[in-house]
Amino acid sequence: MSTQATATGLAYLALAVDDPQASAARFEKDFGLPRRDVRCGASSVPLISVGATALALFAQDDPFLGGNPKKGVHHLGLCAADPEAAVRASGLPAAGQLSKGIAGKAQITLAQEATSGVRVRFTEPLGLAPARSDMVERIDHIGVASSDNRAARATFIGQLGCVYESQQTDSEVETISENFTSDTHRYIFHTRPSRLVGSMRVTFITVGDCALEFLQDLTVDVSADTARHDAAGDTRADRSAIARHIAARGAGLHHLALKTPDIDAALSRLGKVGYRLIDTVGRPGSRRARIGFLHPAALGGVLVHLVEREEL
Amino acid sequence: MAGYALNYLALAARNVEPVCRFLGESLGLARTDVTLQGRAIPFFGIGQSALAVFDVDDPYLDEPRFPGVHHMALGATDPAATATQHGLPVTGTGAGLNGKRFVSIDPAATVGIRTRFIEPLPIPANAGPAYKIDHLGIATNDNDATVRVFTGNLGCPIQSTQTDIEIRNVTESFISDKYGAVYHARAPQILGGLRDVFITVGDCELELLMDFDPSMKPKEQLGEEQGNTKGDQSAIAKYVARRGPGLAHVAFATRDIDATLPKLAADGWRMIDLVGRPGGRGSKIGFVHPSNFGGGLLIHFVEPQVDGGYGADA
Repeated sequence: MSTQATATGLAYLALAVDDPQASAARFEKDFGLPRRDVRCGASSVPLISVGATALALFAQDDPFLGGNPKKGVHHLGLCAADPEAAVRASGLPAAGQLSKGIAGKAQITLAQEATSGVRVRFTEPLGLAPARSDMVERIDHIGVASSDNRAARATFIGQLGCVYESQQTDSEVETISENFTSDTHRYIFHTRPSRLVGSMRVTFITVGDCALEFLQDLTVDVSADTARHDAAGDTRADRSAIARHIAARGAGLHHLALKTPDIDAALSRLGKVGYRLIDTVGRPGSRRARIGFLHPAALGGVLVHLVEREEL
Repeated sequence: MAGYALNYLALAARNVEPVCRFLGESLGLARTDVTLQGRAIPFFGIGQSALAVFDVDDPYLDEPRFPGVHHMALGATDPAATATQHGLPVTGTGAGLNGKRFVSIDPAATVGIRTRFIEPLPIPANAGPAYKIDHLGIATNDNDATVRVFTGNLGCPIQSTQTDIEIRNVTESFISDKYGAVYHARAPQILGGLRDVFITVGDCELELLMDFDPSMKPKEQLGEEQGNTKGDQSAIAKYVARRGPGLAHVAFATRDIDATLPKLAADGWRMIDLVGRPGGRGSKIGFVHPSNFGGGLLIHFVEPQVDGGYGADA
């Protein structure tokens, strides 16, 4: 394919939540991010500015989203001065006609099956001022449950003109040892062969001032653990979450990660004001980060984690 | 020798026939039929004792009756006097196998191990891949109380003690083409363990097996993979929870476990282990699946450690 859109910014990230007003109040009050409400069709939609982009909070049944989707990260709004031209340049099929979207801006939707399950729309820029708070610098990345990272690279880099950032492989290896300590017979120590209990390929592709994080489960012969939102996470649990998402909903947008300068302080502050936390202190994450998840119930059904890391 | 010797071990089976075929044909143990109230009970000589195979509903067996290792009979020339001498309460008495007198001891006085004293029955044994009973596995929740009965009161010596522990170590790695490699290891986690005490009763031992930490949840599915300490701990914990402490399995000594296990598999027996794995007392062990015998009867083999003193005189 010779067509390619030029690298674009992220105008907004649409979230489908229980109660847009309640979630917006939390982003505003507890995360210190600026809010502005704009019209979108018949709805008043809270926009939370974060870095160079914004979170757009919708009720699940908002007709703008269509099809009463599950709660979570819904779609990417990529900036394009001329959305129809951007679709043509990408060579990807559109799933509808040009229409009025957030703040009356023209937007058009790409076919979801052509973009690795990620819902993507092109929209005219919203013209919001960049924003950050003491707790949140910007979106670090948007997690995608992926079934094929190579295909995602071909689409998002080759056709949408995004820039490759990095790729990594995460793995969790379990080694079991047995010790028999007798007072009469010789000490027996033996170790069984190590077993790979969780493995993922993680590909980062830059979009605007953040990245898409494509998470592909590579684990074989280990069934996914059941949902476990009460214990600190690890690769095995992360991998299971991705496998469950793919099984239940197919590939697509999965979580939102916000970059913070001090993860332990941020988690502690959110814990003190009543947020349910999956991790109470930062744990090792991708790109040399320390990460910590909030319970999805904390922000209206969207899975959010914080990230502290050095820029390279 | 101090203490008492095992004269026979009573096995209770849902299906007597496969047990007899396993012991008599696959292991080549000599069979002797012993008369019990006009019936013939198959006995198989092994080392200095014997295995008696009963139908699980045989009235000679005290209730509750369930398939497995039912009771052990220790040799005593005057069973009733022996019980009295040790102050052990008797729940049954009679003249049973080949007219031999016996007494049944109240299991509450022996920490659940169903024990009889019997005038010794001489049962001939011949050599074979199972040359003696190595031990009788006891699932228990109180090693100390059991030692007080069998060592303190009956004088059977402690052969050895040991602790078995299984631990899990987990390492995570994040290997990036831009950010380099990050490795971190989590703290080791104890998966399960057992505290074992071996008490000599003749040419074999009682192997007391006590859950190392009862707060650890037992594993649900057993017998589907090669055995390990966690599986053993789970089996013991589940046995104690269901039946209370008592006789849980029997182990036969063999000289070459890696030959014995595949031979039994080739004979058509379902095996949990096909090669010996590390077991107690420096041995190698391998289990037979209880489903061969209609369930409940757990048998394993032991190749004793030869360079540590134990087994050298076997």
